[in-house]
Amino acid sequence: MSDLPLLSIRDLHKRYGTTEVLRGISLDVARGETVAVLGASGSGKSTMLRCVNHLERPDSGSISLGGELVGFTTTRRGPRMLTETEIARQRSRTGMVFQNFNLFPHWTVLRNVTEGPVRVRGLDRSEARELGLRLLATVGLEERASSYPKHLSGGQQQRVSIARALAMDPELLLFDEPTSALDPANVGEVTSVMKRLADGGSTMIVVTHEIGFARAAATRVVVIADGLVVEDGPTQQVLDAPRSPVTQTFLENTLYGARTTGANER
Amino acid sequence: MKTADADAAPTTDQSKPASRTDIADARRAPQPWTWVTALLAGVLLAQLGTMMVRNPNFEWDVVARHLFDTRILHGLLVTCYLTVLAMAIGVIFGGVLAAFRITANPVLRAFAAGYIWVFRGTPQLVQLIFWFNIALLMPKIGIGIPFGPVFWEADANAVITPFFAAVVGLGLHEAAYQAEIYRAGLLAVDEGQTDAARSIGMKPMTIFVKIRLPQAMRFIVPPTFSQIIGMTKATSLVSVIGGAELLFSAQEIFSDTFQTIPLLIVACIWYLVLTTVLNFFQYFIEAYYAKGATRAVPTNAGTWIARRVSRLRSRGPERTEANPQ
Ligand SMILES: Nc1ncnc2c1ncn2[C@@H]1O[C@H](COP(=O)(O)OP(=O)(O)OP(=O)(O)O)[C@@H](O)[C@H]1O
Ligand SMILES: [Mg+2]
Repeated sequence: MSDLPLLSIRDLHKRYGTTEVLRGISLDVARGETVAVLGASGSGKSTMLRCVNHLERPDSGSISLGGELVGFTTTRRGPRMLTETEIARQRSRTGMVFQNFNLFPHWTVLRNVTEGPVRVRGLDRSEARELGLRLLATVGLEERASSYPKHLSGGQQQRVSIARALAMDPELLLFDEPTSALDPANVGEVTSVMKRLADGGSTMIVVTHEIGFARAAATRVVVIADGLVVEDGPTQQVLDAPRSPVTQTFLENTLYGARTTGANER
Repeated sequence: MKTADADAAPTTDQSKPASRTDIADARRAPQPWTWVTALLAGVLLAQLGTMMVRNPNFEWDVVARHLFDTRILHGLLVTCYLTVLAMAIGVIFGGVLAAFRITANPVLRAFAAGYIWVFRGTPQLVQLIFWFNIALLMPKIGIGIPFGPVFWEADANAVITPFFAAVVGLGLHEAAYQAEIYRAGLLAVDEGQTDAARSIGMKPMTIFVKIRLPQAMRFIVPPTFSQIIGMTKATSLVSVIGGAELLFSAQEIFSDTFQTIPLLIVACIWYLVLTTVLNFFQYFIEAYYAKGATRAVPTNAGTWIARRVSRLRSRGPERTEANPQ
């Protein structure tokens, strides 16, 4: 790995009130990698992901994307926070898929996908429409283009939200437990879209409880516990021969706990 | 009651297996209490009706004579003007205040909070009288640079007519309420919406105008219509400072003729007409902002008419979620 990583997180700290949620996370992601992030509930996975596109402002450390500091700029008088408008431009370089989809309910499926390209990338309506329909086709939903999100199943909604993220032509895709809100029967349709993206060379960070998906699609697995990276290595090594005892317990609990209770607790 | 209960008991027809029963032929379950309340309501209505017809003090002939009296119609027009102008100030300035409340600028936030505190915390009537008498406080009103030259100046008593005081007084009071309505509406929109919009790189203004506000409208429209209806009635307060609106016109007539009750009825009829018309429009506006949502608009006289009109227009079943356009 000689060239610069696409994403570089250095010693990231974040606290809410008195609880320190991130306690010095460091993580590099190279172009084309698919990184699965595992960890117990409350360990800080979402917070880390939300710092990457600056939905949360970290307290210390740094994040850079393609060599550019996220959320801040360096001036002669030291670092300065960017304004929301300046950050917006940076955010358009990443795409995010949320646990609860967060589709815009007042817009049709197609408009959910095209509005970003029109308002942020400056595409004209017909170009955006063409792009939107093509992306909806790749997630298998072109015939639902004129439906409203409420009338789609959870799995379909999540596929639309993946199309919405892809429409920005992002360099990095962030997934925060994309299948946790889905019926078990709908998980596969979403993970298979994600698998195809991973195979197609997209750079992705996927917070997930789906060990099966991690095994099939991730090039690397990172385990977070109590706001720290406790394990980081190739998928097979982390899943089959974890070094950290935290990872071992976590994998046991997730694999057997999930199977016996029949549900992934948040 | 007995027969109704016997009718309600499910019949277990052994000759027909349950799986063969076609529910398309099903009757409605009997609702005896609907009939009982209908009977009671009928009796009460009949009594009320008889009283209204028999009691000569209603003087229905006077009501009929004055319903389209030019003075009443002129007052009605003034009431409409007042409502529209005061609401326009309330809706627009309220929007500005709500925007102030959610900006990052602490000075604007404090201004909005202080404004709402004062204007929502003092009675409307007192504010009206205050604006009408503003000349006592500031005999001259002008436009210029603070502590600097004045470009235009006039006598406050000449500028502040009852109509002007009414529009300003009602409008500024309304703005405080509208600001709170907007704020509540914006709070009702899921934060995940903002997250998602930010995640695709939308700018704060775009997020506000395209994502949050349209979704907040569903929560803003119903209370705003309540406010318009409230405003229609609140304009009657203007009679106190001599604004010639509907109530004032009725008062002018009955102070001459002493036909107090019939003229108050005339005023009430017109107020009801106005509020019914408002309900009628509310139906269509709520239906418009309900796009993509599953909800029902409540029934009253205005929405009842509106629903029938919209059904006639589309010549089909009532507009439902499945065919929102
Ligand atoms: N906005 C917030 N204010 C206060 N505390 C917060 C906030 N967001 C998260 N936290 C706390 O920070 C901790 C880490 O939260 P985070 O959502 O990052 O965990 P997670 O690893 O994503 O967990 P999960 O698997 O449940 O999604 C939790 O204890 C949570 O309660
Ligand atoms: Mg989380």
